Amino acid sequence: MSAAPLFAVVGHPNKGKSSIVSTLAQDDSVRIAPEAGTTVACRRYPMKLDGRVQYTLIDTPGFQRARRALAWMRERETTAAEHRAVVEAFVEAHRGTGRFDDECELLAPVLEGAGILYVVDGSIPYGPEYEAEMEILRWTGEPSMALINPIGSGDYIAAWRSALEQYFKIVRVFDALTAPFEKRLELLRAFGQLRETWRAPLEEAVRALEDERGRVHSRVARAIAEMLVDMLTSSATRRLDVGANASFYESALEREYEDRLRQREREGRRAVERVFGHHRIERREGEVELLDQDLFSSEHWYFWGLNRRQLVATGAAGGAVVGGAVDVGVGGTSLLLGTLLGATVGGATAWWSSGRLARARVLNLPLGGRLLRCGPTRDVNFPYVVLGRALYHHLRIAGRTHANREALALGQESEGEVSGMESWVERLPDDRRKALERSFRSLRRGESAGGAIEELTAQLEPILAEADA
Amino acid sequence: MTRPALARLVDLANQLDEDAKRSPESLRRRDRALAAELVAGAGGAEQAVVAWLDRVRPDDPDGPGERAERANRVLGAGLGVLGLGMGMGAAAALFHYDGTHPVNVVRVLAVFVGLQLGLVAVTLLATLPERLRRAIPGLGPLRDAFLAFSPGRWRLAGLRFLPARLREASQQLRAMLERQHRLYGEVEKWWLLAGSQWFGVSFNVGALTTAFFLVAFTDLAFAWSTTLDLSPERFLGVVSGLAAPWSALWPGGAPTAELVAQTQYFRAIGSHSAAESAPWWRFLLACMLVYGLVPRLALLVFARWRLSAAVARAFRRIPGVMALRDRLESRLVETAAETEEIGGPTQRPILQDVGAELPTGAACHAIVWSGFPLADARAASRALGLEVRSFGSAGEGALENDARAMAALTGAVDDAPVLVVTKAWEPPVLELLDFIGELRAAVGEERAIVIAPLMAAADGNVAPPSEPDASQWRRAVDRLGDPWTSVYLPAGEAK
Repeated sequence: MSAAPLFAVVGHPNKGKSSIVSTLAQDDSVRIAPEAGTTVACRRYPMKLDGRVQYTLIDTPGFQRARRALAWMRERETTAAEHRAVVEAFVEAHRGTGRFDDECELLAPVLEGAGILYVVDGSIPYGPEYEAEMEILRWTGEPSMALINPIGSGDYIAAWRSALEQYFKIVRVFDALTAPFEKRLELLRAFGQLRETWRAPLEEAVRALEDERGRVHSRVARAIAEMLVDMLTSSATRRLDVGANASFYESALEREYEDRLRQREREGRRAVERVFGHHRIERREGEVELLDQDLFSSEHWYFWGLNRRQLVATGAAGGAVVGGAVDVGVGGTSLLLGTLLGATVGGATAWWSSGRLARARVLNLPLGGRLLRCGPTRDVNFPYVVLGRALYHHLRIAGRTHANREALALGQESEGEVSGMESWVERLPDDRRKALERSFRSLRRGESAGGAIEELTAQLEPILAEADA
Repeated sequence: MTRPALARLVDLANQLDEDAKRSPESLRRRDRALAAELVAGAGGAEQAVVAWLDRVRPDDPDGPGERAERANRVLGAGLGVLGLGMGMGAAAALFHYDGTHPVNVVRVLAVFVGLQLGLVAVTLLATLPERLRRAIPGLGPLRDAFLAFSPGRWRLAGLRFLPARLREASQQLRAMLERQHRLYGEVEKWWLLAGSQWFGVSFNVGALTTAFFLVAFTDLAFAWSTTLDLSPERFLGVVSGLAAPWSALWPGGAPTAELVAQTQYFRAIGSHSAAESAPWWRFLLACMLVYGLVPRLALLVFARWRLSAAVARAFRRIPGVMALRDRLESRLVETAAETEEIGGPTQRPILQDVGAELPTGAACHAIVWSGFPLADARAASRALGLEVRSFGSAGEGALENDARAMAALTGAVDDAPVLVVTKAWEPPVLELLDFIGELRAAVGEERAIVIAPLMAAADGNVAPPSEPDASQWRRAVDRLGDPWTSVYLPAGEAK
């Protein structure tokens, strides 16, 4: 068979079929609700590798009238060899009639050749109403596997297993809500055992998923590095008149700066979540706090873009040239005194006049003014706090399945874990800590940010991989 | 087609900005599809990005990158013309000779050698790498100030004379360089320096051609004079030193001691003709060439090389390029659905009160659905606290069982409610609701049918359902629209 394998996830309503599909397909767009009948039509989740389909998962509606469907089939049963034909006839007879819509919808892919993944909830007791469903599926003759998905806290797995083993050759327990990545791959490999020709595409799919998972660390590292660089280098500025009272603007500017940092951190969180294919996570997290006491600086600015230091340097250079000419004039007998004196006078004049220059107006436009700046923070601990929070968020996201729709609480229920993550820096090997500190220091100094992202990405990648392991 | 480096940088930044608004999935699909075609031709990672850019954003003569580059060229041409003009003006002024005052060699050397070498020295300081610059106190501000006044920046003054589309593109480029100064700081620096060198080259070309024109077509007299204490011997030492690079190859280009002695101002002009001072022109033009034009040309080549290196570095470091390379280089793995989910039932509010309480000991007929663990009427009476007059089971095994249970009820002489006890933990499937419909038809209208979704306790008792379970049962019964069918609310708190 050359077509890619299909797997229909079928079962009683509300037993976690969509959760299993959501987790395996890493798709959080799957509608999952406690209300039965949320899935009303089949939805396909093709696993593609460079556009080539390796296998397709199909989420189906649950059985609603299994006993009545089976009764219809039994009325027309002749021999076991005819079972599949009877099921086909059932679908043919009832498609679009409104009577057995869900059964027709869920049986269609099975009759198309899909492997059957029959899902039950292992946290509730086994019941006879499931037998009709299993019997119908058996009649289709397609390879099948039963998945016990314990949704609640009850434990009826043993009872389910003994019942299911009468209908299915393979019975596995798979918790769609908490299954770690390795478990998901293991299950996919097991799908490949349903039919010999499915083994190769499933194996290739698993390898590709493993490779993809390996690349996740570098993507997350990059997202965190970009966030860190932005947060450590951004500032909020406001141009003021020379005579304006800076303290009047400080609290608003500080708020603006903090908002900017928090917004950037939230964007960083979203970027990491997107790397893992999570697009709808609701997050609850305490905002990052600034530890700096003094975030403000103020400097003059001038019409042609120079600050006071640059003006002074220009003045000093100009003075040095004039003084130098005098030195040349006296044949060097002044021992460069002219240059020194010229530079001093030029620099001092520029310093003294810069304040006046800022007040000057040309065509009623100010020639200069004061630039009040809040940030970037110089606190040496700040990058580690941000990084600790990012690392903790990453760990929570990396272990989260796409079936989990609860809000992600960071630093609320798990204070211990958070403080543990924030002190992770103490556990870092010396060379890693020094490399990180070098990068942070160069950012504090305002050195090129482009290189810093590359550097930080390279430094964070192994840290993330180890934390994940 | 190869677009200029700066245009490519602008286009890449624009493209990555646009990409940031698209979903990562669609970007992965697009880029992976392109990657298959690019890998065959591309060499290194940077070439792959360039090839990618050429595919997603074909070289567009009206694109922002190309327009910014064109604006840059126009501004560069303007700067060149300005440099030429200023060079010609300077040469015309310094080589001016009206027959009274000869051309002062000292003044020509001061401007075309001394001043230029000074500016070259400052330029070299400005080109020092960032680390060195930080190590030397005061150098950073000096460099910034030099760049602020550098002729490369004068191009910005010419912006207002450009057509609107070119001006906008150029302003966009400036805004990009300034906004992300940390990323594009080096690009900006070398762009300014390259512009300044271009001005310097133009200035020197203008000065040289004008000087040569004056030498060729007018009769110039030269002399040297200064109020400083400079003897002819010392002056000879200075000019011989200046002529050292070419004097061995071209002895005629170096002034002789005789020439120096004879052309000292005023005494000289009195006793020598202008023709005798003429050999100075060879020396002066050689000085302008060697100390003016050549260093500027070398710096121009160097600055352009560094500019393209800075552009290439920025090209690799723009946020988004690493992600792009990842998209190009890794296999595209897709697992999510390609279609939207077709809507299921929305959770509409419950329209009518479907709850029913039965007083303890009230009479009823019970049907247990789908194997609810109540064995018989006695067990049901005890568990429910009701008087169960008849007991049947349905919802398991053959459909005939359901019919039998209903038939038993139709024979009952009283009109006590019919209690259908079902598992609260299972959802209300259509099969049960069909059964309720058939039951209604069998017992007639106005006979109370009460659905009792209950939890089974280990000791044979029953317990009320959890609130989410109870709520889904209430909703299902509400949807039936049958005023005589309700959901049993057992005494005790719902969990």
